[in-house]
Amino acid sequence: MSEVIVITSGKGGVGKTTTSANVGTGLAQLGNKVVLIDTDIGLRNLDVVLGLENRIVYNLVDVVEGNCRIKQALIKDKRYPNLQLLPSAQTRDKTSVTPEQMRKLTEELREEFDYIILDCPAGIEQGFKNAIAGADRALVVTTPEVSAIRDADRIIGLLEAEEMKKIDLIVNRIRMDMVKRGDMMSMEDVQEILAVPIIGVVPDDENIVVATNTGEPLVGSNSLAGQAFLNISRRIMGEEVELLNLEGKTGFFSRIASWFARK
Amino acid sequence: MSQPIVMKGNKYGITIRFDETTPFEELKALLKEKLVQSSDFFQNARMALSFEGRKLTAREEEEVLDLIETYSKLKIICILDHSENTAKRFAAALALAKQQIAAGKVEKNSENQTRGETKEKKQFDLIKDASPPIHPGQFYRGTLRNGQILESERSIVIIGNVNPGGKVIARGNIVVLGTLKGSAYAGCDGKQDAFIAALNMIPTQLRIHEFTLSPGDKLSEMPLEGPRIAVIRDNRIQMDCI
Repeated sequence: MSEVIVITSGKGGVGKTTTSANVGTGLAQLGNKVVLIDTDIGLRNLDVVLGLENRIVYNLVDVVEGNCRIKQALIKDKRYPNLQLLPSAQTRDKTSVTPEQMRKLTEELREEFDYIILDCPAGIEQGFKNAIAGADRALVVTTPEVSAIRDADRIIGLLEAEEMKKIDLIVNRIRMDMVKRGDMMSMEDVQEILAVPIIGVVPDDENIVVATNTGEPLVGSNSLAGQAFLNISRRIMGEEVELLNLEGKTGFFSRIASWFARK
Repeated sequence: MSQPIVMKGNKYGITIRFDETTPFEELKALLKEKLVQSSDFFQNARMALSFEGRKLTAREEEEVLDLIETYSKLKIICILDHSENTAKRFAAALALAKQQIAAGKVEKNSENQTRGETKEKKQFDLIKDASPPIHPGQFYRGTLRNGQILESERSIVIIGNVNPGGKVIARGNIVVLGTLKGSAYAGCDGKQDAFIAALNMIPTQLRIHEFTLSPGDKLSEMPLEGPRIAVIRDNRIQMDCI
């Protein structure tokens, strides 16, 4: 059974595209057939984050308008044979596509892919409505900042009103040192306000910046963020994976000590 | 003998005075005649309606409303209690009703989830229900999120949190069995003894009747966090521990 997942946030700049790229790649690494759809028409950048920009010939609007077949517009990622991208159009705007057309498109893609991941634009207007139209479940990305939480709260309200079947939360860019000092909201604080299940917490990691710039998703790598994204992909597949220990810096000896302490 | 029916307009609505001695059936016929005559005059105005003189039963009120609806283009938004039909009450009730209609939708509402035209109808049903000054409660279960407005013609109990950016408006009291971080407006049409209570009170703004309290002015001096009740005392909103 294939699943259509929209990745959304309301606020811009919290990491929707990065999350889409990494979670999508993660799901592909785990052996699923995945298609990523960039629904941010006019401001496309999922292709850049995936390093596939130079291979775009046709785009989402071309598919919807019937200028090409879906197959022609899909870009295969050479690194991950299971992963394909449907890029967005750069020279059009959000009104070029309707929710009805998106629903039809996702239905068609269901036949071929296990996971269809929609990278939603920021905002709650047409672009958002298009992106959520065909989705079975939503991943709401937020950072532990008041403004991002406000927007996430609004988005969750709108998703509930649209009767989205499943809504999960990703807390991105958390900094445990700041949480410990009481300068940043903790996962628990965020959960208390938003009252939806947290499917993953991703630490603030400078490797992400590097990976994004080079167009190489870091999911599955040794970095903490890469691990976190892979864990999210696993949880999407229904696996029970414990939350990462983000304290990170526990030394070798203290780990051994805690291992003995448990006995 | 005075006229059996007198219709008076004020700035916000109309008052119909029925003679107490004339039989109701006769009054109805007369009202119908008057309405037909003046239907052009009233146009499509949205108004509040109140009665004077003869005490009408709920059934009779309904019949009068039916007549008005059928024979004039008047849209009655609400009926006011005849005992206190001051212009002020008209103004408050009408402003509220218009605001609600303008808002167009109640995003989430347990009982009176109403939109557009049905809303108008429903509204006076509810107000009529409440015309004896009892304020029966309503319940809403769930989190009220940013951008969601919950409106109630009565008192409302929210079993859940009101998040920042969420708003509760009630003619009666508001009780939040959870954390109130958003805004609450109790007694929105002039109920002075309305209160707002919450298990955890960290509101963005509180309004009761005509008084407003925002953090930054007096809220910060008051005991917050934990079960609190806000009431009007000494012409301002004050907060007490429960």
